[in-house]
Amino acid sequence: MHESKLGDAFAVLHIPRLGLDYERVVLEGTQEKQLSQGPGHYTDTAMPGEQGNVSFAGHRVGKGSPFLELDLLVPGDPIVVETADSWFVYRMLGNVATGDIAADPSGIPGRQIVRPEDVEVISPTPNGAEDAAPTGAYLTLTTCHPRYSAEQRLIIHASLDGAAISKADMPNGPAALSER
Amino acid sequence: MYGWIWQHLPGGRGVKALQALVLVLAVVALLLFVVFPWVEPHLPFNDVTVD
Repeated sequence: MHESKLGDAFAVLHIPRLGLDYERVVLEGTQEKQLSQGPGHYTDTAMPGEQGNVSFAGHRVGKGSPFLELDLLVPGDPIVVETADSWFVYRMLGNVATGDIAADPSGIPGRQIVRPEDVEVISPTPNGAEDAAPTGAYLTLTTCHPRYSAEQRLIIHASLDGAAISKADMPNGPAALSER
Repeated sequence: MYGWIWQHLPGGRGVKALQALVLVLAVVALLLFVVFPWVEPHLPFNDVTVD
């Protein structure tokens, strides 16, 4: 099921909060070679729609700065992943009613600032054990924090909202694409 | 430094100006194509992954 090779472009990331025209091609791999072209997919994490944690890293400053404004996302914001044949709508975790980024019923925060070595954020269940079975279908975005620094990492967690949407059924994408 | 360069360039004023322009462009090209690309990967904000 996981077919993409290192360097392959395999998905398009849409984040309406960052602009209705915000779309970035995601490449397989998180080496500088891939990241200089756009967000990269951590090779050993889940693929879009799968149980587990689809994890992307992206530059915050320079190289097109795909993740410059990730800190603007609020709980409930759609993060849409488009693949060759499907759309997947993920929504940022946290309390949608109050906007509290830390208060998600799952216990996983919508946004967190961690140390660079905190790899549990991309575990199958975010912040769970690296080798434990996933408790759901999650998506995690990582970038540097604060801007212009490598001191920490800014992390956004989201979970899959509904099933995959076939592009044959909805060629122009789900309504979430114009939600902001 | 610039005075020293100006005095050592041969030719009249126009020729000197042209040579000075070439020198400036050479320095700019060296910075943009060699120095900055070499420095850039060593800057801290390139570390965006957890590992």
